[in-house]
Amino acid sequence: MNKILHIAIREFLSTAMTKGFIIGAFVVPAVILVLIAILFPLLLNQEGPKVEGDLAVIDRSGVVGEQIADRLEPEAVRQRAREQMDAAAEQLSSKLGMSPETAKLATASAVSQGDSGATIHVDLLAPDADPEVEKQPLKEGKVRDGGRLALAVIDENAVAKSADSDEFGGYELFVKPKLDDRVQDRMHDAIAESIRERRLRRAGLDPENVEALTHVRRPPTTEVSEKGERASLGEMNMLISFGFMFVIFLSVMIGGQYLLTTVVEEKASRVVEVLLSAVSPMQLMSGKIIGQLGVGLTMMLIYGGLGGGALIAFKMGDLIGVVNVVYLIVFFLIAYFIIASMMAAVGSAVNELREAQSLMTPIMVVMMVPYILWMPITRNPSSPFSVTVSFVPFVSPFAMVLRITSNEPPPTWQVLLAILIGVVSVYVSLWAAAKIFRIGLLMFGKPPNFATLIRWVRMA
Amino acid sequence: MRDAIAIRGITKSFGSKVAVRDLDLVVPTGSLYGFIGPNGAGKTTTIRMIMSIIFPDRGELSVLGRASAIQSKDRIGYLPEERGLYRKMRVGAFLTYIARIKGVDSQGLRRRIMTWLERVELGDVYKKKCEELSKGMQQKVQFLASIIHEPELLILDEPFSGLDPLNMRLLRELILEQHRQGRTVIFSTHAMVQAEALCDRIFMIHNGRKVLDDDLSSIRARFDPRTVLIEPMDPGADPRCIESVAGVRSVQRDNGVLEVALEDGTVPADAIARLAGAIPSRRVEVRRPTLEDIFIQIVRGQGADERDLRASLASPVGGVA
Repeated sequence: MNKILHIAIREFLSTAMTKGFIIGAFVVPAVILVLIAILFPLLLNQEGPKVEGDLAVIDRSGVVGEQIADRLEPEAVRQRAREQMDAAAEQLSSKLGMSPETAKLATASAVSQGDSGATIHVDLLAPDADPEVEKQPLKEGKVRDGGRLALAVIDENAVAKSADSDEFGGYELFVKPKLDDRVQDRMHDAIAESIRERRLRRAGLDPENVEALTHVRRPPTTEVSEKGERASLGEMNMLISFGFMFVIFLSVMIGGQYLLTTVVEEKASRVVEVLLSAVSPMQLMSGKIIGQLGVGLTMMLIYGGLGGGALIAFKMGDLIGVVNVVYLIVFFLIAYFIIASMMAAVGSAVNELREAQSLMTPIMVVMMVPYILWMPITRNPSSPFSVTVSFVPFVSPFAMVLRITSNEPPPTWQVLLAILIGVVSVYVSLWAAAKIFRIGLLMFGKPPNFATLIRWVRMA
Repeated sequence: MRDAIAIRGITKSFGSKVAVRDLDLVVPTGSLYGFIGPNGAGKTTTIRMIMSIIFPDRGELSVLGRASAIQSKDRIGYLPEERGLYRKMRVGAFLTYIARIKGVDSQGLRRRIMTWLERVELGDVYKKKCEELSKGMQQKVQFLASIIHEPELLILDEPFSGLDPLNMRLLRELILEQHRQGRTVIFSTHAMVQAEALCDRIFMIHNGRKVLDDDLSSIRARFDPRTVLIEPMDPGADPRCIESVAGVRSVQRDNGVLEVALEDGTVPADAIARLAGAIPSRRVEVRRPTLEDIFIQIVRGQGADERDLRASLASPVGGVA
């Protein structure tokens, strides 16, 4: 037992201390975190750059100029940002099943409601001013020099239709090159909103009344079942299901791949016979599988912890559930031991990594199955198809995790049956792998095919 | 004292090829045993069976009093023919790891490893990666890996292959030291000169069968010399004048030296007296048969071609320094 432990520790350290692993396990998540923390708000930030300048308006309609000026007042801009955020939060809350408060928090981090960096003064020009002349200042100087940044020309029929046309007019906006698009957006918003308000008033409607009349709040969906009512988790639930499956998949694949690599390395460098003079093949394989289990668990802890942490940060931690985490670990172990024994067997049978490819292809194909299953199972977790695949050895851990985290969890007996099937498959695959491992390790020369591997299992 | 290794009637085949056939072998505790035979004779297969890395199809063996080496692995040191290191691992970490899986306590292990590294003139490689070492240095590290846990039984498969004369001498001294300390040492080689210079007992294998198993002195006594070398005073002397001497079967000239083959039943001492009288000589001596000669003599009886045998025995690295 002591020997297995020494092998496992070496296996773990020799993998976890490599640059590749450290980058994959720590640097990548850290970079992702930094990106989310810094870049994401930057990208979504409504706050424009520090720009100060004029928007010249030639208001041919004669009624919207003042409005535009009001709407570009800093306080009005802030108010507008808050409204946009609330709308976004409402969408999020309804679609993903977040509580409205959480959704607001989530959007607040992305949508800045702070002061606008841009200060825009409206310069009302005479309605009959010549646009060509007024465009001249736009051609001079740069945006950061201030002065005239843009020229808006409001059509005469923007608010009231003219006698000869059945359509409303609009406006044109001319800007200096390289004027920030968010500043442009704000100008567009202010002009369009002003025109809309004027049109409504002219039609005898109160704009606030119209807003109240046309807005219908989208509530979170509530599921009704025998167990009572609860908020539907909607799309968020599918994401969490996928997250669970992905964490297992990732950890299993990483642990398994490293195992394959180190077995092939030990065989190719001929260090294996030195090891076999100290330990039995079974001890060697057990130690290596346990060592890489540590690698897989580390991966799972980092990525799963990151996901879980994010959910808790957004007050959605209760979506995960302690029982689900336990199941996650159980099914991870089942999936890992099956993959690891296959990898150990393949690694022991070949002379170099390249030769492993042909034997790996069937394994990789099977590994793709969970991805294909994601949609059908999460959409229909209790369909005969979903139930059947959750009992198929090897696919079972992935399918079961998808079902458990779906909004229609399977009955407990099905989960236990899947675990039982898993444990039996683990036993069988470890048993077969041990036989192949023992023979394969000292077998050099032509790499075997699948038929040979099966013969080895029968032989020993 | 109990025998270190006892093998009774083991046979091992790989597919249709029989690698070892009906082998009996007893290695007494404390002996320095040489396994010799040409490449592919079955030496490594025998050693792997002793190590329980592969298992015989038939027959019994016991190692250090146990039915299988698995139960006494920690008391055996093994340098395989196909030996390797972890390329990316540091030398110190590698030796520590091997010692730990051989059951050595971590207490004082570092000091022990340092001492040994210094003994083999590798005092500065503790922190170096294995891949940075030359092939000869790696081989010394591998040798240390086989003795670091102070085993009772040391099995070395082709320990000298690939070493330069200086390191070969160093390794020979280390092996002899292990032997002097009372350990049983077995080593295999296809270069028989090395075995001849080191061993007190020889086990010779050919085509999976044991052809010789005895101590070196009795082997020499048994294969009594049948050749006398004569270096005549006159290099151009006519060899025909000694062909008529009683007991002489044939004479061959080789580089100014006459090789005289004696007839069976001739006493060498008598023949020398007669030969010395027949021709004025600078030197007359009985040639001691080498293991190679003995091996060829044994195998020739089985219909093998002498030239092929000599070629397969030729050491790629020359003799012992």
